[in-house]
Amino acid sequence: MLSTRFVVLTALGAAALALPAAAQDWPNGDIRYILHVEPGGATDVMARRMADGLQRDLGVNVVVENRAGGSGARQVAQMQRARPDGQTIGSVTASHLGMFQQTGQFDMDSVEWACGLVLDPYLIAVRTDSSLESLGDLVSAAKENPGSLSVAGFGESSGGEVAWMMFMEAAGLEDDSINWVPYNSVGDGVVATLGGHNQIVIAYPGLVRQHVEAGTLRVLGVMADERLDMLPDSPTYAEAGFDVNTSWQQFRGVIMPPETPIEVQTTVCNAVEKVLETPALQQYIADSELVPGFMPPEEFRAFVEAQNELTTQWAQ
Amino acid sequence: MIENILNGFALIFTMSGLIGIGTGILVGYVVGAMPGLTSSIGMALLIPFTFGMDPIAAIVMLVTIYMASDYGGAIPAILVNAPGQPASAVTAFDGFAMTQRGEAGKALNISIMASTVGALISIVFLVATAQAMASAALAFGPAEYFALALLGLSLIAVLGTSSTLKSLVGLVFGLAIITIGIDPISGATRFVFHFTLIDGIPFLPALIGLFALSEVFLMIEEGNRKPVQTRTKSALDMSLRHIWPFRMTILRSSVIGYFVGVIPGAGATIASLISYGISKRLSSTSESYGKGNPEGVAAAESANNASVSGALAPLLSLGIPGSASAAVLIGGLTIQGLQPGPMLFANNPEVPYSIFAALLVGLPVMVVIGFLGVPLWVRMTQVPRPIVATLVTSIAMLGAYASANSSFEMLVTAVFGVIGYLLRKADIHPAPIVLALVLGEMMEANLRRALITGNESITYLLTKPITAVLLLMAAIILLSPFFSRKPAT
Repeated sequence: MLSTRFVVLTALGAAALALPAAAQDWPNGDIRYILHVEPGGATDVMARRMADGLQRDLGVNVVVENRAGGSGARQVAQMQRARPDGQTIGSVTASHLGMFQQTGQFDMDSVEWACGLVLDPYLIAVRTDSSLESLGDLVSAAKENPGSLSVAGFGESSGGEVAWMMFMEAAGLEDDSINWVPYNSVGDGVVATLGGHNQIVIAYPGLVRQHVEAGTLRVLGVMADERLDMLPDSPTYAEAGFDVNTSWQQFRGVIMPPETPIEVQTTVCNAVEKVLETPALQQYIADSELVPGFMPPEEFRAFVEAQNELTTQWAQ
Repeated sequence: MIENILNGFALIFTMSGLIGIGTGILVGYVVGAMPGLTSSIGMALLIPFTFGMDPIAAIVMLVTIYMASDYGGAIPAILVNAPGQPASAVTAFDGFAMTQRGEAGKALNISIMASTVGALISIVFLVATAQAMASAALAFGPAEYFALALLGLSLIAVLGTSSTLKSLVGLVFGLAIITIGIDPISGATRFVFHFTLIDGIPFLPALIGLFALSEVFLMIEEGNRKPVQTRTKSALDMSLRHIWPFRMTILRSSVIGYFVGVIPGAGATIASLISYGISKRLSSTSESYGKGNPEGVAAAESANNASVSGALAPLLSLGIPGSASAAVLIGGLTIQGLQPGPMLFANNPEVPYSIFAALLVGLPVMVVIGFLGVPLWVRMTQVPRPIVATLVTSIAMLGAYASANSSFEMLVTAVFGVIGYLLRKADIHPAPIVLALVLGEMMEANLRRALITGNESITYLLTKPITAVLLLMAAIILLSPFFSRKPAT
C-alpha cells in the first residue's frame, strides 16, 4: 500500500518535472545567471548587483557564472543547453550582434530576448586643446585634409563603428576621409585619444564625463534626442546640425534559453524590473552614467531586431 | 601630502580595515600560488562579498589580494616549475633550477626578500609620483606599444634559455599560435575551425601546459628516483646576506618594474622579462642565468611585485586600468559608488591614500606569511615524485578549468603539455613561446593601428620619439650577441 502510494507520488512528481514550467511556479529553485563577460567589468558588476537584488526579492540563490569567450558565443552555446524554464537567464549586450555576423554559428533565434535593462548613448569627443570646436569643424577639417584625422573606437563592425558610419553618412563624408582605428575596448580608445594618438573618439558618457570635468576632453555631439543630465553643456547631434537615427544605442539586457515560454519570460522580467527600480540599482545606474531603459519581452525583441538589421546593413 | 597619508593610516587602522588587509593577503597568497587563478580572478571572486562591506575595507582587501598574489605566484614556479601567475614564469627560469639543485629554501627566501624590496620601492614611487604618472601612461599609443612589444621580443636574444636559433623557432611557433582567433583589427576569423577557438588559444591554459604539465611528463620519464636532498637547514633564513650581493639588480629591477607597470596593458610579465633580460646582459655571471642563478630570481621577483604599484598609478590618477587586476579593482570601486577617474584625488582623496597605507601595512604581513610558509614548502620538495606528479597534474587541470569555468581549457592544457614536452626534448625552452604569446597580439594590433593612423606609412613610427628610442634599443639588444666578445649562448 505504502509502496504503491510512493510509486504514484514519484510518477506524479516526474510528470510535474517533465511539464514545461508554469509561470506561477517561478522561481522553482536556484537561478543561474550566465554572463558573456569576464568578472570585474561594467557588465559583470551590474549583473552581480542584479543577482543580489533578485536573490533578496525571490528568496532563492541567484548564481552568477562567467562564461566569457567568443564575444558571447560560448555563453550562447551554454544557454542553448539549459532548460527553457526561467531558471537560467543570461546577460546580453550589442556585442552579441557582432558575434552573429562573425561566427555565422548563432543568430537572433538562438536565444529568447527577454528584457532590456539600460541604454548607453554614443558620443563624439576630442581633446580640449584640439582645434575642432564643433562637429562642423570636424567635418570641414576632414574635407580639407582627407586622412589627416583618425577616430578611436571599439573594434570593427561594432556598435561604435556603426554609430560612427551613421554620422559620416549624415555629414556627407567619404568613408576614407577619417581613419577608423579599432581598439580592444571603448576605454582603450578614450585613453588613446587623451594621449593624443588619435584626435577623435566615439565613446559613452560614463567613460568621458570625468575627463570633461577635469577639462581634458570636450564632447562635440551626443547621439541622443535630448541633452544628458550628466553632460548639460554638450549638444546633441541634431543641435550640432546633423540628422542621425538616435535609436542606435548600446544596450544591456537579459536573454533566456530558446523556447522559454513568453509567460515565463514576462514573470522573470517583472522581477527584474522590480529590482531595477530599487534605490540600490537606481543609484548604481546613476553613478555609472547609464540611461534607464527597461523593456519587456516583446518590445525588447523588436528593439534588438532593429539594431541587428542596422548591424547587418552597415557591416556590408 | 603627509596629512593625507596619515589620514589614510587612520582610515585603515579600524577593525574592518585590518581584517580586510589580513584577508586580502591570505587570499592573495593562496590565489597566487594556484596556477590558473590569477590575481584578477581572485579579486573578481571576492567582489560579491564586498557589497555590504565598508568601502575602505573592501578596497584595501582587493588591493592587498593583488599585492600578495604576485608574490604567491613564485612558490609553485620555484618548487615544481608551475608558474602560479603568468609573470612567475620568469622566476621559474632560475628558481626551479635552484630547487633541482637542492636550494628550494634559498630560492624561496630570495623571492620573498626581492618581492618585498620591489614592492616597498615601488610603493614609495607610487606615493610620490602617482599623479605625475598620468602623462607617462598617456604617452603610450599604438606606435609606442608596438615598439615596446618588439623590445620585449628582442629579449630572446639574451634570455639564452636555448640557442638563439632554437629560441627563434619557439618565438615563431608562439607568434603562429597568436594568429588563431579573431583578427584584432579587421574582425575576420583566422584559423577558427570551431567556434571555441574564436578568441584564439587561451593564454593561461597554454602557459600551464607548457610549464607545469610538460614538467610532469619529464618526471614520469625519469621515473621514481629519490627527491633531491634539499638543505632544510636554510629553510627559514631571513638574513639579508642572500640578497645583498644583488642589491643593484633588485634596485634596478624595481624601478623598471614600476615604470613598466605604469604603462597600461604592459604588466607584470613584461616587467619581469625586461628586468631579467637587462640584469642578465649586465651581469658578470650571465652564463649561469637560467641554470639556477639566484640573481635571476631576484631580478624577476622584484620587478613583477614592483609592477603592481605601477599599475595602480594610472588607475588612481586617470581611472585607467593598468592591468586586468586593476580593471577588476575599478569594478570594486564602482560597486562602492566611487568613480575612479581624473577627479578621484580631488573628490575622494581618502581612496588613494588609504590604498597607499594598506600597501605599506600589508607588506610586513605578506613577509611574515611568506617566511612562515617556507619550511612547509621546502618539505614539499621531499614528497615522493609520483605524488608530486599527480598533485601537479590535478592542480594544473583544476587551474585550467577555473581560468574560464570550462573543460575546453583543460584540453588546451593537455595539448600544450605534450607540445611543451616534445619541444623540450628538442631542447627548445618554453620561454620564447610564452614571450610570443604575451607580446604577439600587442605587437600585431598596435602596429596595424599605428599604420592606419599614419595612413599606411611606416616612417610615421620613426617620427615619434619614444617609439624611435624603443626600436633602437630593440635593435641593439637583438644584435648584441653577434658583437659580444663573450661567446653567444
